[in-house]
Amino acid sequence: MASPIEQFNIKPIAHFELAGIDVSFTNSSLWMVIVVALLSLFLIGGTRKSASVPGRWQVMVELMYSFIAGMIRDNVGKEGKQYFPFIFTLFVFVLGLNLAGMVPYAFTVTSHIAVNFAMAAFIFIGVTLVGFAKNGAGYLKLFAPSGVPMWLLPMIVLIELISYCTRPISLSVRLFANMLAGHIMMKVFAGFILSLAAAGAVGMVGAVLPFTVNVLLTGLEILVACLQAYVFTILTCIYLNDAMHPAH
Amino acid sequence: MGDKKDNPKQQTFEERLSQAQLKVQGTPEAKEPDSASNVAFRMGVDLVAGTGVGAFMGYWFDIWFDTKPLFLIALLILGFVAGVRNVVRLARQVQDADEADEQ
Repeated sequence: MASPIEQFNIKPIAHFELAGIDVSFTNSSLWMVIVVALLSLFLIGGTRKSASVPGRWQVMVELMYSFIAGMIRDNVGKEGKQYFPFIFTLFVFVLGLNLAGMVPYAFTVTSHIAVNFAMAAFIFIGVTLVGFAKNGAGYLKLFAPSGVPMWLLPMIVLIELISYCTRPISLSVRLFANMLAGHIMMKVFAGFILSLAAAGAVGMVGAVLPFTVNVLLTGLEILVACLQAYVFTILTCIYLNDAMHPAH
Repeated sequence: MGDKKDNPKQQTFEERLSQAQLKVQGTPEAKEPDSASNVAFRMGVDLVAGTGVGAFMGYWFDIWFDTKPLFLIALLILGFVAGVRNVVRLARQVQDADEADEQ
């Protein structure tokens, strides 16, 4: 029986090396390319006609657009609109990767912390730069809450700074852990089916149980895939809001 | 402002759109979806992440300033404090949201 974590192995497809660093095109990169291609097809295809009375395809794309536009308006405000392209790309990319992981034999790119942390670190640095660009040195007030006595201030600033630095970790670990745990669980229950079925007639009847669980898990995992993409995006919006209006 | 509101043509399309949306949806305030397990998971990650970031920063400060293990110990403790602060802040958010729902 295959090990439940074997599905997360990175396998190089085409080997490249750049200045001594392994930059091979792997199965992870392959699935990113596939997802980006499918998303482009979906979004460009849906907006191709741009009819005032939209067809089904166009409605799907428009729903996605208004969902993210609404999220930005509610969480960041009107000024957040300029970041719409980034937030929208982030959402559809993470959602696409999560959902692509549900396809049998597919590779779940977001189950690797390296990928998620790269995205989270990019968001973290970007949001910090936006904060300084919009507020100048006033952004530092985020680290010094008002009403703190002078002698306590250095420690509070340090604590707030560490707390600020936990953001990319909290952001990436949540997506990574959810995807990893879900896919391991599905694989483990699939393993139960096989080993029970191999144990004779009684086992075959018993194998119905883990099979039922796996069917339910598949539904749950699709929900988790969408929910975690949503959480990732909305947290980015919340951080962005902190950067634009650092009042607290 | 008064006559501007009376005559919709003088308002920008943006303003009219957001007013219409306010009428339909009420004041929108989206939050993170906070199911109990989601909140619990987030608290756990926040707590560990604070300690982890503190330890990481301390480790590298010690290497840069050659002060082993001064910064590691100090920042480990401060990191834990930061983690607890994150959890308390999150708990307060959840509580405020719950109280707002009850009213």
